[in-house]
Amino acid sequence: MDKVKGTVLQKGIVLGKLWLMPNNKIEVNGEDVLAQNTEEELEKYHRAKKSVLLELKELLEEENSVTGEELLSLHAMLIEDDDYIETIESFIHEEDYKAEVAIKKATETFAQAFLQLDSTYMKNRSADIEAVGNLLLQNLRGQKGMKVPSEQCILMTEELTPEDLLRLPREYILGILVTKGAPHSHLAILASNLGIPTLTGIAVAEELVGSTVALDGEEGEFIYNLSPEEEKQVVAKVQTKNQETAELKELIDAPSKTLSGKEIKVFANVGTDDDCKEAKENGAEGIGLLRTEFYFLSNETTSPTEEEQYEFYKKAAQSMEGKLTIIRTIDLGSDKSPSYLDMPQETNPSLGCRGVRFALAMGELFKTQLKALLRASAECKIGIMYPMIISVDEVRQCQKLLAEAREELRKNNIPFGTPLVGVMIETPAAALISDELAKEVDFFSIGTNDLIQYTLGVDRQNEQVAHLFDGHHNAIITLLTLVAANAHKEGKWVGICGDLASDLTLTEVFVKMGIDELSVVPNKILELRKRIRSIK
Amino acid sequence: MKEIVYTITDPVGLHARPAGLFVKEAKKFASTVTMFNGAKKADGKKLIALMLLEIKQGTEIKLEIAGDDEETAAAELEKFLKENL
Repeated sequence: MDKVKGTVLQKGIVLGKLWLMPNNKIEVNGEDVLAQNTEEELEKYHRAKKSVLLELKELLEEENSVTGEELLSLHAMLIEDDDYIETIESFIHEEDYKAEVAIKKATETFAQAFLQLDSTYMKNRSADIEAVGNLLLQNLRGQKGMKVPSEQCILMTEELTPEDLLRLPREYILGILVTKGAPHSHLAILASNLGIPTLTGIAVAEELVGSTVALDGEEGEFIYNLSPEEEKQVVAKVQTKNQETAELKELIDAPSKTLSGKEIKVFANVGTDDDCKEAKENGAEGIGLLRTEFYFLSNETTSPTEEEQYEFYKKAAQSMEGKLTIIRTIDLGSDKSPSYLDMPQETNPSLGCRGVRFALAMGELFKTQLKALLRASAECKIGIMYPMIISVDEVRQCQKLLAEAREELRKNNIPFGTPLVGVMIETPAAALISDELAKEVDFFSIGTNDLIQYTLGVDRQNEQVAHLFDGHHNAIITLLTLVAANAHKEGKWVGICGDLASDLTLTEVFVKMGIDELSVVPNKILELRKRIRSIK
Repeated sequence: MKEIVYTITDPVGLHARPAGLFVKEAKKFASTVTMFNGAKKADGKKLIALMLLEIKQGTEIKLEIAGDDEETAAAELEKFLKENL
């Protein structure tokens, strides 16, 4: 058995016969470029354009995935783009180029223009114009039909345009191995939408054609030279995985209830609005932690404005369609600080000016964030959560600032709503005075990563002591139990948003202590829900 | 001539799909539609040119609309921007 590592464009494990798709990228001869008859060449180009558009229209009619439809219409529009047409025509008319040379040169010109742009997304659009150019060239060369597999296979090829993929008989394509294909290319998006396991960065291996190979999109491996025994192992792995995935998928809309009917909500931890989408797709019942510091860090020169923040929070919360979205106020410290804020070096950042200490020290910056959150809560169900709290006084200072923010909005006639307000319990101090804190807020969310670090005095990044970082330690369980009891005494709810929330060996313990909500990364939601549903 | 100033809120900016939809919308009108990103400008009825303006989230764009149906065109395009971008 041999393996090669690639980059995963779409997850999944498959086993099948390797089929090599001939590279249908048209090469244009660079020598014989001049036309005998320009009018004839123009005519040829227009005929090709018309026929490709017709073909795209036919594909569009048969296509039933939204991504596929969008892509085909985009490519049709590119072919019909006035600038593209004029450039090709003028290459034929004024430079006397043959149609195929004119198409190649115009395509290269526009592909280059896209490559000059800053963002990866826009750079990747050069592949779209190249795909369109290739369609025209294929048509000119009379290559209408392409070679397609006649049975189920794992397709291997150097480069695959989205059209190629759409034209292949989908039921035959078990998996795709390509040499070139960027993570944000349309091929990647399409493969992911169609759910076809795909790896990129795999060199074409002609000698393996026809042999049985495996594509492991969980590990990112292309596996070949399998012995019959190894094939069986892969088949078993595929079956287990498929069964697990199918079982988990059925739980997307299922309630997170134990067998005795106790409900414990499963929320998601996110940092971007893409994560929110993933959370929604995996059946999150809310967002338990939306981190905002990445958003502040990704801006290089200034902190995001109130308006920008408002749009960001609103967009994230709206994607949850009416479900609660808990947004944590900036949790920055000297170890993670944006360049536009001049923060002094600290010898011990984890015990330094961070979390709410930092936010309160910043004043206006914090108030701007609170205003944006208040505004977003006019339209969405939002919870505001303060990090690194150690005293009732800190909570009151935050609430005072929130009241000021509300007053300023009111004065300017800007609409705002009433968000829930909660605190992170991530210091032993907060856990021990949780009875007092519960009187001040609507909810608690326990940040176990820091709570363990501060309670046990262990830095999990430090290899020498990382093994001592233990969430099962009796001290941690005792603190969690105390926090849950204190919250419930005041009629407040309590969640866990640290890594410990996804530790399935503790789920039953959490249910017993009365934790109301567990917030985990989106791809762990369904496993956690399954675990909850198996508890008596 | 009508002018519209709008700040793009979509996280990926004026990406391919909405740019395509914008072109379709703009082509419904006889008026000329020009989109400005700072000093760069493009014909609002041409997809590639619009995409090459590389309009990102937070960018303030300006539209200039001129022609017989500029009133309706301006109203419709502004609505389109608010709903899609």
